[in-house]
Amino acid sequence: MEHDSRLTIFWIVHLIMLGLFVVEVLFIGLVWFRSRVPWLPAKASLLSKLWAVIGAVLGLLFSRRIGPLLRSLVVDGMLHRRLYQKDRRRWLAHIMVFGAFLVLGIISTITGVVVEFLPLFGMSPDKAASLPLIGQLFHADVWWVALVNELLGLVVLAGLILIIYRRYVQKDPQLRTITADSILIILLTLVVIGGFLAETFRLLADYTTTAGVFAPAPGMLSPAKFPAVLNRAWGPQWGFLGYGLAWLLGLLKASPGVWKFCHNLFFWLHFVVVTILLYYLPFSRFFHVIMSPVIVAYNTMRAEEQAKHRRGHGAPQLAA
Amino acid sequence: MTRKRVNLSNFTLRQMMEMEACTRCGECIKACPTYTEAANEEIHPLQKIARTKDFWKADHLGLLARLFGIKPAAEETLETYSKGVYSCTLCARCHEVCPVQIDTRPLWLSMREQLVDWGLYPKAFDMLRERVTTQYNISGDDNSNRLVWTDNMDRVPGGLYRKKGAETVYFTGCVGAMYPRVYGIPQSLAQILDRAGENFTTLAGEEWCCGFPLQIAGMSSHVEALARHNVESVREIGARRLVATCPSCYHMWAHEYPQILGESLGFEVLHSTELLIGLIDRGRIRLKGFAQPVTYHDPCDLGRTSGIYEAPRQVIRAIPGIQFTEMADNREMSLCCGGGGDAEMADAELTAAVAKRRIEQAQQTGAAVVISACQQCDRTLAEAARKNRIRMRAMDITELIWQCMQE
Repeated sequence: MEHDSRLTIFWIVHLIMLGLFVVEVLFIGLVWFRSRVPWLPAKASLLSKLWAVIGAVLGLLFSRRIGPLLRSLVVDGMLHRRLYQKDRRRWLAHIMVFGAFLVLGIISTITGVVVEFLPLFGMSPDKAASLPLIGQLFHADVWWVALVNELLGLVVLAGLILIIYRRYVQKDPQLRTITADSILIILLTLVVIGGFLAETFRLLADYTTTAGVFAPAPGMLSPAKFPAVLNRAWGPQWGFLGYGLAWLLGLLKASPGVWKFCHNLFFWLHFVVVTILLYYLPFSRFFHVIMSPVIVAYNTMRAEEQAKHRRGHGAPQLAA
Repeated sequence: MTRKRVNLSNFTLRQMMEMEACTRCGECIKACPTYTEAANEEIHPLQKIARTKDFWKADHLGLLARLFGIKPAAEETLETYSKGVYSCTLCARCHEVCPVQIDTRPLWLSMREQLVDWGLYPKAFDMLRERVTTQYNISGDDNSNRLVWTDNMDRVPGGLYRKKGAETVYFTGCVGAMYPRVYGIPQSLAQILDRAGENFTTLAGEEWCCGFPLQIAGMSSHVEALARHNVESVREIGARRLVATCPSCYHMWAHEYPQILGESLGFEVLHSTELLIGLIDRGRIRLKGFAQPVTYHDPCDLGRTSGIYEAPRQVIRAIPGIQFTEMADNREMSLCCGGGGDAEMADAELTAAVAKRRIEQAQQTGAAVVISACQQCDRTLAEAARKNRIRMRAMDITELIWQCMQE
């Protein structure tokens, strides 16, 4: 089978959106620089503020403080230690959505690199799929890739259910739900469910015979799409939920063309929602996804330094 | 009349980032003592941050803000925002519970600076500013009366009037020096230091307000002159240390002055409890027992804002046989007494409700006396006990120690 041009479009548009995202963040960042840098005069120029902050950041990165900062970034920024200490259930819901999305995003990005970018540099699919560590991410029907994607998708879904329950059913009094919250939750749910359905219809489109029978076998995929080197690792059934659903829908005996249409529908839905999320994020109240790990890491490091300083302060030097 | 745009230089770069880092988890809502009493949505930290972000985005992001539904604030919205910001006691309990560790107290101060820029602040602050910048104290009295608290002492310790070469300068603070209800605090500390043989003095009429009331009102531009004068006055005496009984004055000296002046002060700054425990440890003061059971209230400016939790407890525990019980909320999670942040000027009823909750918590310990280390907490708690008919006495820790030193 020929190269899937939709994926090419997907990645080109995503790169453009990523660029746009960076431009948005830079724009907001420049507005931030109209604020005060404490150690500079209030009317310091934008350039002097920029230099001062770049200097301070570099100074921090190349100092002994980098160790505690990185530790805080992981323990507090990524693993949310304070939330864990406060409320295990909320922590679990948060880490399920945040953590699983993060890993899914990383896997998707690596897949994009292996499938889309390496061929641009003349690497054959066989060679790309043979690369150590990342090669098997070439196709979602490699058994462990199918399993990991499936599990992570389910983890996100379960986390979202917990979040929806707390916000809309339990109505925790400390929460203030605004339209933007509901929009984001709807978008995230659409991403996950759309992703599951896109995968289900992809399996049906790829593995349904012209007679309308769902009968998966590695040979049904072209070598360009599923290089022979991956044959031994083939195992779409490990993506048990999507596979089971595909098997059930396969009983309808529809033609591969119908499934391809359905697949395209959900593929583009998934694509559009992910794109909206990415574009909307810097202007939404959910910019915290990016900002809070940075701030919590820095603030925790500073709080620990101040506590250490206070402990070292000791008693006053009085005469006996 | 069109209002001025948000002046972003009222905020630091870190604060801009912190506002974006707010996850809107609502932990601060649960912890906020004024919101607990008022249940007014404009008061809690989450709302203040959300509003501030909307204001600056509407003013500085132009079309992009409109695209995402952020509209310029109506006059009415700004007024309710101002009421919310000035009803805060600046207790910083929200910082303790914030999973992102947002440094909330300085952020509330920056919001107040912005509100002063807009002219949207309680008008009582104009009088406060006038008094502090012209009379150099918050009462408006002649500042040469700074030692009036010594008038009814049986024996006035020598050298209180700017004694050159004194090792310790006692910074009495405006309230301690000029409000008769709390004269007992400077009187007690002066007598303790005298009995301990400490070589100390005061700045007398050269003591100017530390600037704290103006800083928390959002009028920090006036503070530098006060800080410079005070620091120079201590340097002229040549003291090695400065001690304050007022936690707000202590906070200004220890944490704000070096930043405001951009230099080290060149002498040690202590809160009176730190000095007291030093004197007790070295056997320079001897304590007798105290018959009544006590509890301790952490002043926000001493605890959460300045990080001093143990020194006052060590001082209390040094009293032989004392019955000391902690309140349910103590140290970092201590409840505010309602007396901070100049919030009383914005809403006295609200701060009275906050104080009621705290004195009731003190009562639950079974203590007869609630000890604090702040004249403002003492006043607020005593008032709350009186109004709510709770048989409990509020006492400053220096008064407690002086009482325990009596023959």
